[in-house]
Amino acid sequence: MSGEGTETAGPVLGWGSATARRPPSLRWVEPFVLPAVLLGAWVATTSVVRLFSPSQLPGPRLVLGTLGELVASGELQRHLAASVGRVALGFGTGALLGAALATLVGLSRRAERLLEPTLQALRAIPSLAWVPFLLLWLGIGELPKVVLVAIGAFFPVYVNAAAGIRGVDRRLVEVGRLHGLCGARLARRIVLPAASPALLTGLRLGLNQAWLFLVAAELIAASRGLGFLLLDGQNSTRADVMVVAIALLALLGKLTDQGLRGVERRLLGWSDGFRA
Amino acid sequence: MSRRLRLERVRKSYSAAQPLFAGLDLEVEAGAVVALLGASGCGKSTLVRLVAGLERVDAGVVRVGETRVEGPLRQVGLMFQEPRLLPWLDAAANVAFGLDEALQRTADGERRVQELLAAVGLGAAGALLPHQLSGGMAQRVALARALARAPEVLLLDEPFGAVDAITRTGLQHLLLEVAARARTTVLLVTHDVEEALRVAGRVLVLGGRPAQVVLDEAVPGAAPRPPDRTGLGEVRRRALAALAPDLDTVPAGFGV
Repeated sequence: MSGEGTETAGPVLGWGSATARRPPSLRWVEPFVLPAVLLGAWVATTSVVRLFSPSQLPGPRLVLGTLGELVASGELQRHLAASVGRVALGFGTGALLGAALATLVGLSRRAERLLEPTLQALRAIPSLAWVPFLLLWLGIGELPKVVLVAIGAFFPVYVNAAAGIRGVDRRLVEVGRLHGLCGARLARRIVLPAASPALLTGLRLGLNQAWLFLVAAELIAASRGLGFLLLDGQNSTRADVMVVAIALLALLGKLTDQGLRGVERRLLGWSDGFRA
Repeated sequence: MSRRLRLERVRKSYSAAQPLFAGLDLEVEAGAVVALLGASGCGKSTLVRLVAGLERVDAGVVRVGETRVEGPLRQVGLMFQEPRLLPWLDAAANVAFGLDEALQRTADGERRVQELLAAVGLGAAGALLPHQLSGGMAQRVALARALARAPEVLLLDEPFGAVDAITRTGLQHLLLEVAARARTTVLLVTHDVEEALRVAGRVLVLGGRPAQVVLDEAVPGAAPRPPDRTGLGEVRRRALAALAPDLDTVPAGFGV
């Protein structure tokens, strides 16, 4: 590992001379090049060449029109609020539980023996396998969806945080012990800060998975939410509605991840390996 | 206040076949600066860790003053071979970590941190993070942290090995100055005979397996001594001779 902590770590090695010579003022444009090309291709294939029929891949004008209608009727806001609410609640609960159990398992050998094998087994269950049971046990209200999202967020947070805590430099723990720290104080002042990079990685992966599980939940049993909107679009052969739903999911996933990256940047400025 | 440091019939082994210590006796009188020499792998670091309370003896007693060491003691400071700074805290906060808990986050504590940073020549570097410090600077912060609690016994485990020669001399002087002022008992572990002869009032050589004190020699003259000081030739010769058998034997785990 040579300093690329995240998927978009700056140009650290290789390509050296070329990167160095390029004027830095244009660098911020580069992330937008590929989206612009795709947008261009979309416009070209739907409005200019008409490679696809509107029912297969609707053009930008149709999609924007649909978006406008959905907003005007207030329907879109309803779906958005439902999805965002489920992710916020599910991710919040799942991540909190994941971090708490990881701390417990990472710090106590007994807790590790008691919990770790079971949690690893539960982790092996594919997400969709939970759905029938959640519906059976929790009905078709909000609860099963939130629980499914929470399950999705839980495991990445748990696995990463536990690995991070287990991997904390023993020599730093010794520094803490030498200064009279043990138990909860040792955890708070040494173990958790040292494990925070892994915890934040877990949170980002957990958030990603929360959106994934949200769509799974909403595709199966929901009357609101972006997943439902997607399914509704499919059932009524409205590709324009499907495009709106997918674009919004992408946008929300990206925005929330960006938010967590901001937190990461603020909290992990100290880290030698972290350069985002 | 200063305290004597005593090891009485200390036994410690990681493998039953080759005990590290089998009844080791050693004493550092209160307020003395003693250097402990020995080839690598002879148990110097383990000895320090036993005194610091980071490891337990299998049998025997380690005492700091009259207190039996059974875990880390407030009065015992330790500086490791490497800085071991907490990477998420800046230099000043790392030094403050060494303060007594009651003093942390108080104006008095902050003043003390500033004094310590200034004493190690880093008065302007308090806001730097460990990864922004050079190796020598980091080790100086570590020394400031070890001194923060004004320990009565200060253990140093090859502390200046990675520091350049000029900084090293400066830190040795600082160490002696602080120790003299507070009458701190100092046990300096090193593999550098010259360093031992420059700063210590007494030199111990640890050797053999199980390890014993194979040489216990007073170093005449007030420390710090200039490196070219004459008259230490005989002490140096004896210290090197005591170290040499260690270098000839094959260390455990490297069986022929």
